[in-house]
Amino acid sequence: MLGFALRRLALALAVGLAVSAIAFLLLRVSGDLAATLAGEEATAAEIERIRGLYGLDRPVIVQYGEWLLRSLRGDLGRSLFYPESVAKLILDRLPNTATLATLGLAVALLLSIPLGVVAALFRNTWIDRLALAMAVLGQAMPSFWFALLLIFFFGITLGWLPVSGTDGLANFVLPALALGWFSTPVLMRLTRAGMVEVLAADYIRTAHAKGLPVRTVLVKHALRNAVAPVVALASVQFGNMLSGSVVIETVFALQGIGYLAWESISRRDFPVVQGILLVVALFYVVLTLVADLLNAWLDPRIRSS
Amino acid sequence: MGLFAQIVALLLWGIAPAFAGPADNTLRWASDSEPANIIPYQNTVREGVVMGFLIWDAPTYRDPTSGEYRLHLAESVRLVDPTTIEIRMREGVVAHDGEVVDARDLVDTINTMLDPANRIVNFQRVSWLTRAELVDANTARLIMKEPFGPWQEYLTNVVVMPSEYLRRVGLEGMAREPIGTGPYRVTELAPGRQTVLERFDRYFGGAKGQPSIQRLIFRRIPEANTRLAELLTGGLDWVWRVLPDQARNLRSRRNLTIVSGETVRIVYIGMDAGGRTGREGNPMTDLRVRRAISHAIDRPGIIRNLVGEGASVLHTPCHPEQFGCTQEGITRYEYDPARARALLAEAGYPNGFEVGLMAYRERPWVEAVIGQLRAVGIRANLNWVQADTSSSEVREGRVRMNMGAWGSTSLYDVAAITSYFFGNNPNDMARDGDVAAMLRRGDTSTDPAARLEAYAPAIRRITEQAYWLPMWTFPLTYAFNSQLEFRPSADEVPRFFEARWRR
Repeated sequence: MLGFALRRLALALAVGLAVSAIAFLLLRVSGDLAATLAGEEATAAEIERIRGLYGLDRPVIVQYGEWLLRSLRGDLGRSLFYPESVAKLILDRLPNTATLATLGLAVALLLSIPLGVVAALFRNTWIDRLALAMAVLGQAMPSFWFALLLIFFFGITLGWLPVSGTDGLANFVLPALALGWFSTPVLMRLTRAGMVEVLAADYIRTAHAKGLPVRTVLVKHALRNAVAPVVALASVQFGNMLSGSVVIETVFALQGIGYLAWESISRRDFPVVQGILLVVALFYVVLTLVADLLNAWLDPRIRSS
Repeated sequence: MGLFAQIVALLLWGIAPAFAGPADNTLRWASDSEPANIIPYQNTVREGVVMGFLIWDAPTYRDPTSGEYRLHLAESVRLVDPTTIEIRMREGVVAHDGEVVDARDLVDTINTMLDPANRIVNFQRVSWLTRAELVDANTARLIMKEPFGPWQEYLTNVVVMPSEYLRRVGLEGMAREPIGTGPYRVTELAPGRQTVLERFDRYFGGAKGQPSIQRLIFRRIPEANTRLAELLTGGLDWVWRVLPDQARNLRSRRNLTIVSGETVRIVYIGMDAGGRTGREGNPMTDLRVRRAISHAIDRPGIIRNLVGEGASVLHTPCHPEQFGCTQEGITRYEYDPARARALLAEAGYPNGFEVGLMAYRERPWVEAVIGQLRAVGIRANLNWVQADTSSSEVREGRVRMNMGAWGSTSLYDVAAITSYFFGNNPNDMARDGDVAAMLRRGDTSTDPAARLEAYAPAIRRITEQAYWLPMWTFPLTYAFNSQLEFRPSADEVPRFFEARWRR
């Protein structure tokens, strides 16, 4: 088990390193960083001056090497635009993204699991088709459009909820609904498929034959087995949400990681982009590592392979 | 986005807004971007310029209505010789922390910003200077690199920072907790969340006058529809950059004032008249082709249908209100597609030609231009890029035709636009030595009459040679609470210190 864990850890580190190197190179080839930093109305002399000041005239490999060494010491550098360190910028915005992602996932699970179960129980009836239609609508409707509809209805027409900002939990309700709605269809369909398969299994028939109440059969025997792949997918969805939802954060003016990444890319604030990419890559690497180790612990065959 | 904006505006129609601003003498405003660093020398975004005017002051101030340069922090300003400006500072001015501000602060600010170690982003504010010297406690001398014609205009951008505080906290500290002498002091600076400014009760007034509104709260809301939603639900009192279709739908609403105005920003089409992309098979080097392009585009029609109210057709490579931007004796190109086709045929392109058109903003306008060029036979292939890529490509001489906009960093002087684009520098696509020499003569003279005399023939020649097709002035639409007394200015700098609530 220890050898397996070390191998996986080494692989995770290699992935993190590769992601950072590719991101660094992509940022450098995406345009003239010095020209962006100098601003739209800068002169050629000012651009050259900025190039020298920020060391952008040096070979890319040297720039990357320096950044990597600093990052290993926990120093992600300083933003080229904000008078702050990259780490502080990310830490300032992480709570907003984490709150939004957690609430968004909660919305998605609260909607998708009951709907999926109901659709499976009433398979091929109008209820099933209605749930399917909702799934199609959820996947087809652009998230920013759904977000705007929420703003109009709950924010403007009813006046119940704030339409932007991060002043309190109320500010997160509409964004979480918009974000969760987008993840609901895929989770719902997976729940439905799992339930349909499990409900046809012999042990469910046996449970019914033993005279167990329907609720016990559904919740204790069927759902527990059917929901396992949903949990796995939900963790991936959570990773996506933690990486930041640029669209939702933009529409609701939530200052989270996604929006910070988007604005930093627009401004070519490459230390911040680089830092965010590293943090997001680490999220995924850690989650994948934990999942791998958990699977290996549960199933010894994986360890030997 | 236009369709969505229209639907949004329709949905919003008929909902009564509820404003909170007048009750607590607070103005809540929002924009789509914000300065990452609030120091005016460290950002180039428009919202940063606005904040700069509110928090800091310069020796002089250009009155946006009259266009006159008025003394502000300075008591007197004079040219000692063609490269030396002597400024006597007003006495009794205090900064937000109580520090007395005098000539030493002006000198220290300039020398700090000129120091390469400080990595100033908006270096243009001081790049025309070489250093500042202290004469006595109230007098400073600013030394220019060479005689600089638009020095009066540029001086209005040299904001002064209290030097003792600046020395103590550095530029980063100043950016986190800004201290200035301006009509408003910063009480909360939370980038991404909000910036709160409170009226500075010890403000000296000067040319800006005493502010009326007690508190200004700025928020960045990137999405235009969300800004409107906030305006309609009372979360905001003032927004700008309202889209033309949104403005049309909002005009009928009571409690909201919608104002569209012209700005000093202009839209243009650049052409590789200088043949930097190669002279062989380059139609842009032919005057007849450039004139054909100028006749092919229906600028009034595009303004009427797409650009919207507040824009007007432009005929010069500068805004008519900028110093030196003569309108006399220039060549004007009216919309005449038949004439355009005839000119193309005369130039040896009876079936038109293919050309790349680089652009980076206002795509519907660009597409309208492409359509009209196609109508006379010119097949313009759109190359849609980021703004900085467009600038870099032009500088590298790799662009045959481009469409862009230029705000002259709100400077009312042709040196900030015509000389920038035709001064025989990397941005110059025409490379006309005579034009560049005339502009240089104007730029390096401190005599206004001599400057006007130098610029006029340059501008006439640029239009006669159709090096550029000046398109239109850039409109800006504001929407705000009708109880607010607010007057927009063409330099895209809302003067909130002049605004007041009607009681």
